[in-house]
Amino acid sequence: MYSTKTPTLRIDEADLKCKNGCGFYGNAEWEGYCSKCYREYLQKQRSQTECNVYGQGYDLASSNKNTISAHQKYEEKKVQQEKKYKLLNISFRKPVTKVQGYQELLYELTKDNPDLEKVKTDNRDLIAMIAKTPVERDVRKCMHSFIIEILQNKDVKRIEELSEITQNFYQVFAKRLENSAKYADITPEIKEKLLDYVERYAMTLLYRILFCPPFTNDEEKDLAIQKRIRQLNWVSGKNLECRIHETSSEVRELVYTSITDLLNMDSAKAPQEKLSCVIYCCRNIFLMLQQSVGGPASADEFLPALIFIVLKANPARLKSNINFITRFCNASRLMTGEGGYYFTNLCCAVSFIENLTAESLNMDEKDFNAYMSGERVPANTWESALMICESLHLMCEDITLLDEMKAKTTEIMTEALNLKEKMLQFQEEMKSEVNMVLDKTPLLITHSQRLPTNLDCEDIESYQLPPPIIPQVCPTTINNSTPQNDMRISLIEDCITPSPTFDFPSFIGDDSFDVSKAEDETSLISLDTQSDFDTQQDKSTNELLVSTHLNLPCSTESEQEDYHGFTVQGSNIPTIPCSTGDLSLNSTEMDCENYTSYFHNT
Amino acid sequence: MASSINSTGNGYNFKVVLLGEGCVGKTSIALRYVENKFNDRHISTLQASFLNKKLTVHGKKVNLAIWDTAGQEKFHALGPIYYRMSNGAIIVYDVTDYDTFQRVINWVTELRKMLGSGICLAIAGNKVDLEKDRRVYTEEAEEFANKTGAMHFHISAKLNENIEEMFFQLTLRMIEHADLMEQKSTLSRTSSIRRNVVVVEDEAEETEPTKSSCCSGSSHTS
Repeated sequence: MYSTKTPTLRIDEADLKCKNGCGFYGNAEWEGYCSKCYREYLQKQRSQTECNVYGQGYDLASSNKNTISAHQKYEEKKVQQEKKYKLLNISFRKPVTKVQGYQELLYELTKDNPDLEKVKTDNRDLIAMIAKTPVERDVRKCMHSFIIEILQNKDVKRIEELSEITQNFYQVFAKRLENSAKYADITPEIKEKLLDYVERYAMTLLYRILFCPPFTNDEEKDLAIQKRIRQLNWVSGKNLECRIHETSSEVRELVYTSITDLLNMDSAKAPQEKLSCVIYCCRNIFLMLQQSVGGPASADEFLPALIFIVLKANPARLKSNINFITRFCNASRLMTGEGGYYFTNLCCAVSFIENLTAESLNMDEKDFNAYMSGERVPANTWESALMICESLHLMCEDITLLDEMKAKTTEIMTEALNLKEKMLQFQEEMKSEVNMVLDKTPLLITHSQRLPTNLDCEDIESYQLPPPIIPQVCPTTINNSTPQNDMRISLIEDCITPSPTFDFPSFIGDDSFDVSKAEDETSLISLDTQSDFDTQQDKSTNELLVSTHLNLPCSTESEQEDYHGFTVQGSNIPTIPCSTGDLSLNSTEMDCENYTSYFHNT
Repeated sequence: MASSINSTGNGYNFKVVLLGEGCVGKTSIALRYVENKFNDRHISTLQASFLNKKLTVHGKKVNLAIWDTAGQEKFHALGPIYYRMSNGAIIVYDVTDYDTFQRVINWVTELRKMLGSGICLAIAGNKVDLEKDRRVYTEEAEEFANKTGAMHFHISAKLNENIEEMFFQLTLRMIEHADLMEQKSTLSRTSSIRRNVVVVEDEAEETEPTKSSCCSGSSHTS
């Protein structure tokens, strides 16, 4: 049900389960087994190695039987021993033989611990501040001695005693911060941070040892409460008399977030981190209640809502987490503030769930039992309500998505229409402008001294000038676009791509019927430039570019005059390139010759 | 009781729980005291169940953490979790509803049984603005308070009557008690009175109902 909303950070529940598949929770330190299976697994391994050692002294043939029997005997012995331990009510622990073992363990705990690294990086500023001072050395010393003490005592003492040691350490360390001369020149804020850091670091380091230790019954309690909550999954907000508007999508979002926050508690390591998960969860609950109460919510509304959230979240290892916080958080620092209040409420909620009866839900004893045993499923459970809400929720999301898309498309459509209109307008404007210009100044080419050269020839050097043809005077209309534009394009093309593979066919086709008359001004000019360029290969193209660029702006700015100038000074055009260099004369002559030969050919 | 003071430096940290039947106005009292608002739309806090109030009494900084509790009858059993480690308790009843006073009697008896004299109690009759509907009589309430060593106040969260006074008097008493405990612990060096270890001592004669000090209400700072 909550699969869609569970946080991505979290591990799947299946990963937490014992590898043996016995249904209990496993633990990384037990190689993924639960405590029971791990013990069995260890025994099996030990006996196997022993068997191997045992078997070496015998013949291979006979060893098989022997090892099996020895194995069996060993197992039996173990079981008996365990029974004896159980009868004597002694928990199965490692004997205190390995006193030196804790050094290795400490190394093992410190090495490759990503959580520890994270604590360090989170407090980088603090560490940098105290680095290489007597303060750092003292903090290190205190922390180390405390960690060693815990490691030494972890197999000997009860969890309550370990908790006592930890709390004493916090108090002693706080006193030391207050009174020791080493810490005299440190501000209270830094001291507070140091306290926090020490607690964080030590607890993250010792987490594997102190969280849900195998010598307590935390795990059993976890399972008991988990089972209990699972049994109570039919309890709805109505049963608890909590004022949650399950139908409001905002409230539902908040329910999900607070459930997620509560579930995150298990993945946090240090007690204050776990506590902050509880705080986030509770703050979200208050936000949620604000929607339905319409003011600051009181505890009368808060506790039922929290119970509801706990029931729906069914957090993993709830009891272990609660115990870990109560035992190992700095009580005097954390338990007095807001966090302490919320944590107390969480404890209350758990206690209420554990002792829940028909009476506390205001319902009939018989109904309650029927629901508990699963005989009857209430029609309007939160689950089914959520099931519907979930699909509704999805639909809502889809609708909003579609709405967004629709808005975007309409926007695009209007923009497109605008663009189209603008284009049309532009076209109209252009047309009218062109027409206007054309009306005012009919294109007249009076004299032309030069003729297009034949560029078709492979050999550029062999271009020859055609025989001089006297141009005729006649008005022309230029195809469809403005003469300026055309001219510009051709000019630029000529300048930029002064290659022999100039696209001639069209040009020739264009001119084929009227070349001699040199009517087409464009071709004329372009050819001029072209020929000009060809002859002045030595000259840099830049110069040409500059000249064209210089020419263009004035032509656009003052179209009329310029254009006028063109027609009036039509005869001057061919002389422009000539003025740039004397060389051109020779080569253009050659071009003309070539051109005539080309003409003869056609 | 045990980890009572935490007198770090010259300040006190007190935890005060608000107990009483639902709808007697516990939340309103806390909000009136901390925010000085009643049923107001401009209440800044998101929640009214955990509130902090800082004040200075006789030059000493006091931080009151006011814990609201769920008042419904079905949550009564959770009381011990709430009032564990608290220094003071205000048990509220509605003067117009005798049943709520009955709950007060239950609470006070339970608190005295569980925590002994380790906790300072104040009984508050709320809603005195509805005097004409009064069902709980002053004499009875005050007699009960005297008997159990608790203070008694008639208050109104709506009219902001007597609320500052009540918190102030309770604070005074908690300071007194904390100092006493401090002395004792330094004298006898009784270590490990941490947490749920309850040391029950007979000092019932600590009850001085109204310690009318001249500076009442004058040295409040928020």
